[in-house]
Amino acid sequence: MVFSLDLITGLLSFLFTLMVLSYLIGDNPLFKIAVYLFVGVSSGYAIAIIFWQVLFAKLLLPTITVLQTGAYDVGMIRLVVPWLGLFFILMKASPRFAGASRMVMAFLVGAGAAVTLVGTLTGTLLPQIAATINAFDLDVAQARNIKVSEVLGSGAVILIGVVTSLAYFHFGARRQQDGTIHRLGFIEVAAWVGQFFIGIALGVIFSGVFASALTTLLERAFSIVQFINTLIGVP
Amino acid sequence: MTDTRVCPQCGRENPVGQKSCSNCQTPLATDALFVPGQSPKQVDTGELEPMLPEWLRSARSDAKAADETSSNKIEVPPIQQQPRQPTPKPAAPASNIDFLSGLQSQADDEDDEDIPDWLTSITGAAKPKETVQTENPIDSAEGIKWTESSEGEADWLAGLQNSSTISTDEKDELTDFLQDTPAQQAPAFDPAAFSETTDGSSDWFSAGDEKQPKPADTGSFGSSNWFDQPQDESNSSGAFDLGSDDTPDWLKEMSDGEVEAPAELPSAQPSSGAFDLGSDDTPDWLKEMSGGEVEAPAELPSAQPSPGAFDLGSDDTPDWLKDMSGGEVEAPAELPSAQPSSGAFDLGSDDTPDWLKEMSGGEVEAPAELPSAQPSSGAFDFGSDDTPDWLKDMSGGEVEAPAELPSAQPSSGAFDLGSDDTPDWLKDMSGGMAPFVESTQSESDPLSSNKSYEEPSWLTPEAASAVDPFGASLEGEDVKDERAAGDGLFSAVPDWLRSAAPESTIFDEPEKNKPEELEGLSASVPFAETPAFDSNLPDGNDALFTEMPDWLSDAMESPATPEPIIGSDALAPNELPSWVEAMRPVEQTPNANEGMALASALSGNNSEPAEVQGVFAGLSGILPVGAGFAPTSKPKVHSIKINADEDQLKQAGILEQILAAETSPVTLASENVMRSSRILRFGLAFVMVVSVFLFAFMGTQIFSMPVGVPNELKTAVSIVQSIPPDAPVLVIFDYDPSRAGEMEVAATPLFDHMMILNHPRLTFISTNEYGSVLAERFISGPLAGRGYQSGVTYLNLGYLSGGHMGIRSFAQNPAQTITFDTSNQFAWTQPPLQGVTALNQFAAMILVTDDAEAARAWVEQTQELRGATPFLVVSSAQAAPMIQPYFESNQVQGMVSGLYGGAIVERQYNNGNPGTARRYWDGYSAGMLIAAILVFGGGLVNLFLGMRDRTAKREG
Repeated sequence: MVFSLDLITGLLSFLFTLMVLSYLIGDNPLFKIAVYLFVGVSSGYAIAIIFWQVLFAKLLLPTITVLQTGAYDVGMIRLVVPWLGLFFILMKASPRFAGASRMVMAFLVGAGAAVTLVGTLTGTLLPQIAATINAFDLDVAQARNIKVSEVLGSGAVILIGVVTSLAYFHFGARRQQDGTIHRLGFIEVAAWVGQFFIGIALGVIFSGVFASALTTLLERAFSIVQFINTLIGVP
Repeated sequence: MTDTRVCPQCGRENPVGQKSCSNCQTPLATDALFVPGQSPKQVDTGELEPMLPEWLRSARSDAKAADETSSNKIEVPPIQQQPRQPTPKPAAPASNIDFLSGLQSQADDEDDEDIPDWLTSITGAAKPKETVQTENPIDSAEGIKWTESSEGEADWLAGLQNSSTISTDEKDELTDFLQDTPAQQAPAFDPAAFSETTDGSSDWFSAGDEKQPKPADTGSFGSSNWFDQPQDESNSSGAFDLGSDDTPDWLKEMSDGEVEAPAELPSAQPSSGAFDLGSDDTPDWLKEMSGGEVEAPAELPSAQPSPGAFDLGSDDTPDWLKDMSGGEVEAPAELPSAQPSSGAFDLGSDDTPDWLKEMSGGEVEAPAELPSAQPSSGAFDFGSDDTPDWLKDMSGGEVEAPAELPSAQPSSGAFDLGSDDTPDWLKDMSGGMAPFVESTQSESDPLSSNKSYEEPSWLTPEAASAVDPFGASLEGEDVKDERAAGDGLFSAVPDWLRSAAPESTIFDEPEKNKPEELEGLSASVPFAETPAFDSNLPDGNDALFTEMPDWLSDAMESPATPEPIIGSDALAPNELPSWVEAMRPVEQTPNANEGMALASALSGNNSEPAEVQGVFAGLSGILPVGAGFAPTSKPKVHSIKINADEDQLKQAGILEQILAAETSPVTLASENVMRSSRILRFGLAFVMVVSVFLFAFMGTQIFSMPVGVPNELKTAVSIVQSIPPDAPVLVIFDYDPSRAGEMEVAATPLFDHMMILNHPRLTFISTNEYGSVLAERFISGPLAGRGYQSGVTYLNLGYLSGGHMGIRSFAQNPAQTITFDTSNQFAWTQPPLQGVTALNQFAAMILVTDDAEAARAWVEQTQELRGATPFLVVSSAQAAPMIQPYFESNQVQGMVSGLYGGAIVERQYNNGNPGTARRYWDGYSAGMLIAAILVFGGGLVNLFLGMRDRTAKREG
């Protein structure tokens, strides 16, 4: 009897699917075994990907290429920094020389923070503010071929939702004459309205999560059915 | 400089001329004080006479009067007489009291010698005085003028030095007066011996022997000078003025009656030592000492009154002391021309210790029977009932012995030491009297050689040699010579001490009797030739100090190896003494049982067991030897109930509650958390799984595909459809493998539609490690039918490291960021990337992700660099709500999310191919319906429960 690769793969997929679904009855060894296998395989695969697609492809291979080709003028200059960065970061393994990696780590953290901050500011905050404002742009309505009332209504909902949602997360308050601490009146009202928008957004997210999970379950269910059908010979 | 003089004692300032402090009466004349190390100087001590105590001044007055009386045919001395003006005299003797020098100033001795007379005469070789009184036997006998009659000092010193030497060595062993008693023989209770032989002897007692002139020896052993000093020149040596305020009361009383005694004496000097002991304050024993003897001098015709006669008839006098002065007092009276014994004590009192009575037994009577013998001044009456038996015995038969001695000085101190009750060591003392006599005689030798002065007849060598109450043979001239040879022992002694020391001691013995082992030591070691205890003395000379106590004698006579004690006194090993045996009830009965019973009966406690063996056999209540031997009894229960009222008990209860609350754990109030019920969870899981698998197995298509196309999906399809043919399209795979099922269902219709329409060149890249493999799976799985080949129609660049920086770098310079593809081939020269050197050169950028953060990163970092390149997002259903705003902001041009988006594209734009979405749609729709029902139903249930709770609260 010859076992095809698809059969073995389907069998393993079937078993591991059942093992994961066994979590419905609680934490059990089958679930742990499946999780450990997935984590181990995923980690090993990630290391292999990093080595082959990062270190080898971006450092070793160019170095070998430069060494083989003898193009030291440009290639070696571009490879010195990565090699120095690699050497200094490896110094973190020794507490005595860990200080040598500070410069490299400072460069990475600083550069990453700067890139993220600028990207967030220019890619998210300002565009989203502009989008909220543009919700009332009648030209957009004409471009999208929608009614002005729809644009104004949609824009009003977006504006109210944004403002009230932001007001919900405003926790500044003052002591009142009776000694109690309360936020300002209009902030209290906006926050009360904002909680509905937040609730709706969380509901949408939950529905998306559920839909995603349900789709995954369906894929697994059809995978098992297909495996079974393959086993029993049902087309 | 100062007009006042500060008192050294109290610090009070006194006028310069004042002699004593007005506050504390401390002498202010600094020159009158004795400074240690100060050499004697000649001062006029007569100036200090006002400082003398009143009684002493009276005594001096009496002495002066007596002197005048002796020269003017006796006059009654005035009791109070102003001190005569002193005349310049040599420095006072080494005494810290100046009135001694004042006494000397009263003397007629005009010699300007630095050395006091008593000190010069102490050696026995004192220079002869020109003022020796030889004609008046009374004066010579009494030694009235101490400072003048240095010759007379030798007389008494002959015996005194001897006795002092003996007693000094023996004072540790014997009572002082017992030491002195056999030594001096004549005064049975010679106070002078006390003062000279013991450091701490009472001064008053030494004063009782007025007839004993002791000019030099008074300070030899610390006796107080004030008591020695009354022995003034003309007065009776012991006549004190006891009426002074400085005089102790008891001493005053002692002198009440006795002072008068000399007045009654015809041609006899009053007894200086006659004390009135009849006062009530006088101790009984002292009174008894002066019982009958006091009167004796008065009865004596032409007899010198005894200076040591005490009035011991007082009621306060101890009985035994009264008895000491009992009948023996009469003895001197009967003696013709015998010196009355001033120190006669009645030892016959009942209070007198027996041993003392016995001492006074016969000896006291002896002087009475002695013809022409000087009566003993220390005769005791030991016949009193209060006298202890042993003391009575001492006064028994031995008294007669001196009486048989013709012309011998009676020894009033002879005791009867032969009684049975007398301790052995004391009995032995009776045989050891001879050495005292010998020494007494020997002491008199150097002094007797000088015949220029007069000595008392009883102190003459002849008399001393005759005073042997025990008939002991006295030594002859040979012994004297041997003693003289022994003077060399004092070569190492200072001169002053050698002169004070006796020239021969009782320890002198013939060289032939010395042990051989001591011969070598005799030359260098002082007193080495005179052992304190010599057993080789002749039997006839049973000296006192050779007859040591048994224990000491045995210690010296016993051989090196002690012999076992055999006899009746010896105790057998492990044998208890009889008195201990008598205490043991078990031994007193015939058998042990009876003893036990008796022990129990005696103890009265039958609960405690009695010892059955050992030393404590028969005794009950003995501590057990160890644990387990004694029965364990239940300890007595003591009530610990506190007497407290109700309020106190309440307060205690509150305090107890507070303390208990401090130690008890506090349960934190927590809100009721809704936890999923296992049954509910199983039920929901069962419903979902069954429905999904049911629709999967059944393959039904009950639920219709979605009809409406969202704007983001519509624009996305439009963009895909607008991609030029064979244009490079960058596809970014950033989702987890777990989401592959959803992502492939959502992305496959769009990509399939795009491949069918434009057959673009695909370049795959990923920002996670699994993106490259998922891309391979995607292109080779759902899109396998489109025939895309790696390196030809598609290129997998693999993993883009660096997160935001990697994306930014790739957006800025894709070729430098990722040079090689997953097959390590230079990517930018391969067909999928031909003509592409920048990000904006791609026809479209399609992001397939399930993570909104990944979508945000790609949107943010590539927004400025991608230019007009459309950016489409195929996301999972869970990430779509977060990516939707970027579409609203036109940062994302199109978006397909989840199965819903895939199903729309598949059905409306791709003719239902590949059909995967459709297969999943019934299951998906069922699942979503069930979920909606459960959510809605759950909400209704919660609403119902909430309303019920609120109603219950409202009703409650």
